[in-house]
Amino acid sequence: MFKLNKSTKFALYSIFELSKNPQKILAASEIAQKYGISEHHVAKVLQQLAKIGMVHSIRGINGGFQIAKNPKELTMLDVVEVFEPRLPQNSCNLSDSQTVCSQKDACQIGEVFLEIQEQAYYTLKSISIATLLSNSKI
Amino acid sequence: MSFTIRKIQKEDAQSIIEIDAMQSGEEKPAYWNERFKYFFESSNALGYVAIENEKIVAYVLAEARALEFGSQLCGWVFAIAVNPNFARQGIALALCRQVCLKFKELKINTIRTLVRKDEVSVLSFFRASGFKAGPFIELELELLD
Repeated sequence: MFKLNKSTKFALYSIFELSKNPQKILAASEIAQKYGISEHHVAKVLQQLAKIGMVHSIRGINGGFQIAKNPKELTMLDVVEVFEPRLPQNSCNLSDSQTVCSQKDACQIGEVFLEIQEQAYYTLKSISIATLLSNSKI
Repeated sequence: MSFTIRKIQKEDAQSIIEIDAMQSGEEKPAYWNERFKYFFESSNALGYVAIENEKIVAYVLAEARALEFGSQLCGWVFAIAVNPNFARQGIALALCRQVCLKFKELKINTIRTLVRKDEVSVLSFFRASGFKAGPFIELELELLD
């Protein structure tokens, strides 16, 4: 029903892979190959993540990308929000404008999507990349 | 890690009230005294405290529950808190682990809890401990005048 855009998926794969070994430098091609996805697109996503300081971009023959943040402090939301625009709090998914809604008679529909949006927001915010990696159970 | 864990006792009540107040910013002795009355008499309840330097620094309270809304017998963690001065030492995890062990001994294989969706640090703790969304959705109705 709800689909993440490709860049978000690739960013999650990349951060997941880079966080497995924070010291390791990985080329975009290695990540792309592992997931069977476009190397060009992964490289573009990683460059964007480097721009905001989530990964380091390392030049040279043995260059590539390295995680720049502590996976314990990096949440799924941090990664998802890079490529998925977040709606302002309490704004309606159905409204085309952020200030004026022309569909006030259908607020009940918007409220349902707001509920789902809020749930997704807090779920993603509460799961760190380290938690994803540990897959631990007490 | 210099703390020890033991079963909760009636005399621990005041320490629990104090730790809860540190966490929530609100003293609720009436609530807790009512809760303890039931808790210490119930055969389904279990609780542990963590002790460091002879002082209670954390607690977990849980109980075995069944049959609400068609649920099978499961363990409910209904309160867990650590004195903020002793946070980030793995105490809550150790307490949670202790409760899970006890439930397992009782042949209970599912543990549930309820957390406010915006309590991100508490949610993160349970997520990191392996908890996932369960089969229930909490619903509420506001009764207006």
